[in-house]
Amino acid sequence: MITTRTKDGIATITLSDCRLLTRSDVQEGRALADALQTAGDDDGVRAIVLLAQGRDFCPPVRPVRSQQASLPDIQSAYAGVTGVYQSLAYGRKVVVMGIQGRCTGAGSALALCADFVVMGSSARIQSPFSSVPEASFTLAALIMRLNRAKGWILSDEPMSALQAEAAGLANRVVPEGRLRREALGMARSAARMPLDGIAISRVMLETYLDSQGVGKEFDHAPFYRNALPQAGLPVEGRVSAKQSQPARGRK
Amino acid sequence: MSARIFCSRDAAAHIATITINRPEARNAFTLDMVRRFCAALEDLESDDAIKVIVIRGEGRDLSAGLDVAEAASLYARGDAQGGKSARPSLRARLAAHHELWWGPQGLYHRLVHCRKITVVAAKGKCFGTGLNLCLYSDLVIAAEGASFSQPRWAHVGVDGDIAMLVAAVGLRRARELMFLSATWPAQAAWQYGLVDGVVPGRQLPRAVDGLARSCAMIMRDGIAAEKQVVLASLAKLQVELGFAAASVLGGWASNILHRPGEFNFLRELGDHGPGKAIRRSNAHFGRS
Repeated sequence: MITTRTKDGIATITLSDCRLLTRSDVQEGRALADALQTAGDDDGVRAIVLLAQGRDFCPPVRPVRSQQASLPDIQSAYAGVTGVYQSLAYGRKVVVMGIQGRCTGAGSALALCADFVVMGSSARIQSPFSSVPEASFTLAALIMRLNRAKGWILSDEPMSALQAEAAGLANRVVPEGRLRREALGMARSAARMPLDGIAISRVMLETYLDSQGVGKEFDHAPFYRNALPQAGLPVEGRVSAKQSQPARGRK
Repeated sequence: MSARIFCSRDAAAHIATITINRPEARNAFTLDMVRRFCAALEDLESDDAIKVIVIRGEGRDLSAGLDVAEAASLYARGDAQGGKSARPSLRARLAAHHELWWGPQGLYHRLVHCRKITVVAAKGKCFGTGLNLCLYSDLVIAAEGASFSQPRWAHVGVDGDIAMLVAAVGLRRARELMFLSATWPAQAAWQYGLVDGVVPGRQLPRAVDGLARSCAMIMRDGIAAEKQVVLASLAKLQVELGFAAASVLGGWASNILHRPGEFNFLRELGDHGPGKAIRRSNAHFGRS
């Protein structure tokens, strides 16, 4: 479930179970993309904070293929121009993401698309490239520089918050208890800009990202999806009941 | 009045120095200074005795940016009315950004394409134009007390190229300047990749001189070849596209609509004058 709360020009979008996104749940993907676009279109919103409930932002989850969702549906909900990842990377408002605990799969892919990342001091972030076809390596290289991004993609070792900060993946590291406050503080700072100034800056950013091939990489996500291990996995319903159990809060 | 931009040459050492000489205004650039800086670069480009150009500021700072008192006259030249209109036309705004900064005759374009090795001595305030001098030069040594920021971006949005900025510091750090009105101390600028070294303030002239002399030992053809390689790499990074976008969006950014409650720097400037307008801007955006 995705909830949005807007106060003082800041929309706080909270995920109740980010694992659904790692599993490419179409309904959840559409809900997050809608929430991002609604906040982006609202002149009363100047910045967005993206949070997740629980101890972990996005714990690991065994990938399964959805029984019902078609590839075009998944493409539309996740990689398409109105999907989750492009809505975040090319959105009209500044997005600050607060990460606690473990961050894997879709959580890490979201972190590549957000403008700013604040991490709790004990948080760890793992490369999303083996589980999320929409994860943008171009963004990773632009954020962390090429060699660090290659090291991250080739290693399954999660990066600590301090390592992520040193690599440029996280902007700030704070004690877990201050995570939300810090993310809100950064969002308020961005919200002090004139709305037109934010819009100009977003256009400049979009121009730059397109010049670097970020948009094209999202277009290639369906091809990556066929190459991922999930392509050979059993479909949902044929794995154990525990593994396929819908997460709490699912619509 | 002594020259605001002056150029000295040490032909024996193959090093020239461009000095920004307006310390009483923290070396803020006037439009005339921008043009004189461009002229100095052009002159040095054609001097085969010179291999390295050092860029420095007189006094405490490299440069606090474009003089805010000149902001209103920035667009006057491109208007048929000679700038007498209350609101400069869009064509005047676009022309100003292209001619002064991003176009082939502009300061930043000239600096990036300069065939000599450029070395910046960064100290004190390196804001706006001061930060861009660091970004578009080849090498930067910073004094410990130096700080780096783009305060204008908080007022109107990003009105300059970001391709070189992202290439230097990475996308996420670049966004701190773009959206958070961040000011980076020298040590952070070094960690992020904006500057190549940080030294105690008193050691800055010697450190820069040592680096310049080291660069001046490279053969002229070697320098020319290396600079061409750099330019080819920058082309792959789409820096030319970034400069073109900066010309266009810079013009647009100068004409944004401010909603009620939003901080309007130009209005503050008109109502309170430069000093108070800057102080109120710092307070609004949480800058120290």
